[in-house]
Amino acid sequence: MRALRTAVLAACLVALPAAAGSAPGVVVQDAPLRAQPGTGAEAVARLERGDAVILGDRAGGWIAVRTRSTPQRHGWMRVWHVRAQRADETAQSGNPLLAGLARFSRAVTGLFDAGGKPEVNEGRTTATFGVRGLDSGDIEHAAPNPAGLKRLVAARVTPADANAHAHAEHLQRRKATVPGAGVSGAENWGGW
Amino acid sequence: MRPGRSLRALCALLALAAAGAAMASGLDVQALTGNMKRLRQATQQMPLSEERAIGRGMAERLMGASPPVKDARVQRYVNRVGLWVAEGSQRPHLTWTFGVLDTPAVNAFAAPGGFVFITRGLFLLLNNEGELAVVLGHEIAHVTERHHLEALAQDARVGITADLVASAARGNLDRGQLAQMIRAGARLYALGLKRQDEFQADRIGIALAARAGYDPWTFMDTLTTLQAVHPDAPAMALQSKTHPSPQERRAHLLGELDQDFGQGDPGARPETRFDAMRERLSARKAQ
Repeated sequence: MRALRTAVLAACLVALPAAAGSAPGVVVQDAPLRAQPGTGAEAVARLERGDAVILGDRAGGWIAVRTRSTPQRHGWMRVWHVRAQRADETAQSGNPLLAGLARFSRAVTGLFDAGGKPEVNEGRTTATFGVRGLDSGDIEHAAPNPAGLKRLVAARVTPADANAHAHAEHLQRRKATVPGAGVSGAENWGGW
Repeated sequence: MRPGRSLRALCALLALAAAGAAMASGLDVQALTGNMKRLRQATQQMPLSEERAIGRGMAERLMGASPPVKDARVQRYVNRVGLWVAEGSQRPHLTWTFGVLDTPAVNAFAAPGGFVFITRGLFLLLNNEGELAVVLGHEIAHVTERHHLEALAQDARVGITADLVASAARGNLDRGQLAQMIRAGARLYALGLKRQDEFQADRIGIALAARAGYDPWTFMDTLTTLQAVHPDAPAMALQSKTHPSPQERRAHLLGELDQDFGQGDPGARPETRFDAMRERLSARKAQ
């Protein structure tokens, strides 16, 4: 009876990923696909960077994964071993990892003038951007811009506004330990 | 400044001066350690008015290098998310100001007294409000832990003397001294904070996001994204120079994340309203 219960439980755990959601994703780092969430769980396959997968539910730092290849395998991977793809990525053909990096480049460079032509380094794991960033000298030698800060001050919101915004998404306060917090306190009330 | 705090600050500074005199005759590790502790104490007791003045000046410098995005809806959105997260922090009642800077650089900044900024470049790389909450939480932690003020007092590279720290702690910086502190603070953006400050801000940031109901594991997605960008790319260069690598940050966080958030309700990662703001930013041209 005990063996039966164990077998049923194991079957449920293995089946769970297959029953989960269906967001397309891509493996970003070679890593094992495990039967259950946990580093001690059996590795049912080893997936490679660039493999197309279907992503399901999350459990802590683990995410349910199904392969798109045949035979289809399902299990769990660490959340940073895979990346979800957005609709504009999946519409592209070819290597899903490179498509992802291309989107990534567009996100930053697409906003700028010709100097910011995106460049995807296809032979490596990183993407590069041809745009100039904000460098250290820019800040150190910048003239103060009090008008800019004033615009942001005007965009401040009240706690009631922030709380209503959070509740609109059903966000609820939860307990979580803040490690190493030095100063306690509501003593510094700044007013609104 | 309240009298009790003034007295404590003055005591700390007198001790600091004594330690400085003792050290003048030769290197004394014990005295040096005590000196650092007293400097830290002095910055922790700096009156809010002084802290805000330094922070405001640093923020105005940042605005000079990169103005805020001219989109009031986006700015209000970041303020709503940021304030909700900050209310769970150790300093919930600071006058928090959040903003999006109009630059392709991938970065985020904080300034003492409650100023927190994310760049358009970084915002566009995030995938949901949970990721935004952790990034803002990380910067909120730099403010609550007074990391910049400590660096001003302790980092010899910025050239702030003990006398100047003493004036700040007493709450009587003159205009010239304040300008000097602000210039040194702006230098910190180039030099970066201590690595342990960055790791601590990561840990606090995910805890604050979790307290606010978001999924703290979203930060792993952010780190995966950052890892995919070449660290020397111009848009990433300053971030890479002033922060540990994404791999190091993940390694430092993993144990605590698994322990504290490995099970139970994962928390939220709202996408719809985040995507709407992301679209507004995507549609913008550089100023």
